[in-house]
Amino acid sequence: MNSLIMQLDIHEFCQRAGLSQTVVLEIVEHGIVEPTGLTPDQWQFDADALAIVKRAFRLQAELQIEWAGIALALQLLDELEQLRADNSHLRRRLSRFEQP
Amino acid sequence: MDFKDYYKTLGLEPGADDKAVKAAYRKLARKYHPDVSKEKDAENKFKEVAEAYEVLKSAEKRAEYDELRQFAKQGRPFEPPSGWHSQAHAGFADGMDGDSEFSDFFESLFGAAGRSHRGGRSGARRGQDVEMELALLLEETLADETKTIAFQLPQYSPDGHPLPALNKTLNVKIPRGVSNGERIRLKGQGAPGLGGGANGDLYLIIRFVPHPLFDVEGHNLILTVPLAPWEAVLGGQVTVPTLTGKINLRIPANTQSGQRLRIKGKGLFSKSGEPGDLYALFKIVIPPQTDEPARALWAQLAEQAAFNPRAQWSQ
Repeated sequence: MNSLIMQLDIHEFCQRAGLSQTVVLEIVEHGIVEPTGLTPDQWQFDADALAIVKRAFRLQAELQIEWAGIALALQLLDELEQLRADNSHLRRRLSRFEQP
Repeated sequence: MDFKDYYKTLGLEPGADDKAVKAAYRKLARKYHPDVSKEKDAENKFKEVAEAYEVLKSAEKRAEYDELRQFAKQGRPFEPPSGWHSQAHAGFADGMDGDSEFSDFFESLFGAAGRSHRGGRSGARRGQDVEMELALLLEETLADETKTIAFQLPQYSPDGHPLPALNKTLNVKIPRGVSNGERIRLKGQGAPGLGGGANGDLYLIIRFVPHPLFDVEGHNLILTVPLAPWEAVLGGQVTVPTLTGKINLRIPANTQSGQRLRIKGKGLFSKSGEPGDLYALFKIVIPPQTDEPARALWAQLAEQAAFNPRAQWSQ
């Protein structure tokens, strides 16, 4: 199980994400990802955070949105995804009760 | 090769000013960005839009393109005029993440300069991380499951040109208790590194296949159990399926449609190894046909059972 859990410090994280430390600091300031640890030196990021910052950076570069907008967009997209999943789940359950 | 009408791609007139180009790009990018869009074929559409914008946002490239546009006749294969070569190689794709692959048409105009952006620099480069979805049956989450997965990895030559994708297969152990949407990291199984750089990682995103009988709610399962009216009223034993085999379930007397009964420990496993529960959700069904003797019995029941199922409406 341990091999599945990835913890990266800020240097490794920046390298993996292909982003500068300045950009990562800004992303964290906007609460787009929340590393554990109090100071940037102690920060630890997991694999989900890596996927999130990559997505955030793509949106920032390609849609030309500032970070506050990205934070909001990502939050709304997550909620949308959750609602879509709930919706299809409930539809499936409803279809078991309804006559075709 | 077909001539690409970049103005049309962005829904613009050829005279559109820079502001209009930017606005059109932003609007279409929001619509088709693969991280945002649920549109069919969003990724390809986004690429076309990005390519059009790459050309039209730059005064130099746009001037070259406009010049060439005069040579192009609609509906006829396009050849750049002989001796044509671009002036605008510098500054290609700055700000993009380097993954963009533009069309042959684009490259015939502006060259493949952008490609060197990806891997042309010397030294070791770590391979790309790759993500893929892995469909999993609910049954397959109950034990450590070994799955054979087949996937493709992007490859680049040492000078950064894309090579045909690499086909790979891998046996993967999926740990018991994975959940829907979970990401599993396979270290070093992503795209190969360049110049001695480490391989990227492969991420599997678990997607549960919808089950014909069971619905998933966290680590619990829901099974809709049809009951005849008399079974619901009198109670009794019915045999119900679980993910691991059939069990006998005692139905209490006077069970209502929509009522749930918990069957402990017959759900999915959590990460910590705790089993979730299975809920039987009852649904009362009536026989599709009723013969005369049965009808007479129902009629007798209707008379005797002074029951108003819509009593709450009259309050």
